[in-house]
Amino acid sequence: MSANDREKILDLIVQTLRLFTTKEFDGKAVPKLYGGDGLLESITFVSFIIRLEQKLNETFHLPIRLVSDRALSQSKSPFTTAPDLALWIDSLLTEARGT
Amino acid sequence: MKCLMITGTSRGLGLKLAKKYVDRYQVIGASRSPAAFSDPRYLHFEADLSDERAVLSMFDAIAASGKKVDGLINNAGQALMNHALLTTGEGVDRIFGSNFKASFLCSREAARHMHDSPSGRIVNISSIASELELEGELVYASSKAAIEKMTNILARELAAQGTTVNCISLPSIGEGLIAHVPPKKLEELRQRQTIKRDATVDDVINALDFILSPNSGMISGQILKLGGF
Repeated sequence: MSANDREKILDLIVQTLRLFTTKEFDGKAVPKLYGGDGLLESITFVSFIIRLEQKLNETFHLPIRLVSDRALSQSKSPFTTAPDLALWIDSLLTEARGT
Repeated sequence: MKCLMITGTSRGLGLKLAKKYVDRYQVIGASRSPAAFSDPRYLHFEADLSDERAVLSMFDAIAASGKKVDGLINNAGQALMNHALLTTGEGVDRIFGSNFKASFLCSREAARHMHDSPSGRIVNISSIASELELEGELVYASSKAAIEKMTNILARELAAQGTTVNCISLPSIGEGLIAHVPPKKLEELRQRQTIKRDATVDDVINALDFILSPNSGMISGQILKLGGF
């Protein structure tokens, strides 16, 4: 996965986040995505994930499922912050492309 | 034209529903068997709907073809009639897989398609066997009870996105899963209903039309018992 792709992923995450929150944040400053002082409430988080999957599909033309048993069993949740999520998506895209 | 997915379309009620609804919808059917009929408005998928990968592939293929599922009828199911002491664990897995898990997986994926629609519709199919706690149908009835509970909770979880989730609980429709129930037992069941006769496919379609209507946005989390029981 190229650095360009990684940046594109983070941009998609930030664009999608802005659809679901009016809170001010800097995507690269590791904002917490949900829970407590997070950007999203739990039910909004679900919509965020669905919309982000759609955007990833449209952008990379690959069906990406962000939530899986593997995602939920990671020692650090890939859904904690925007950069964490970008890394997770990066790994899923790499797998999906078989590269 | 709206897209309606119906599971279990290789025979019985599912096949009749698919043939009926191609007049009004682009119908997507799914079953383990090949398509039992063809129509320009019918698209069939051969899939084991209790297999998560198969379900994901099917919905990915639907999306890749430019379609979005607007309505889902979780009709596919299997029956198991046996005394509890003679029921195997494998039988429990099979019935819960084909009845509950398949309905859950298809609902989850269809709900993603419906996420941006103000009028997504999910309809589950249950059975009189659950409500009347029929002896000899412990596993089948329990799987249908699970589907009813899923209906109630999923209705709440999907309300915010405008998707309704309902369930039609069927008495005997004179065929299909209930075909192996002895006539005497079927008659006893009819006598426990408010309307003491078998339901017809048209009765089922009437209930489905009501639930699927874009005007039924306030109807959700309901278990509609055809014939009253």
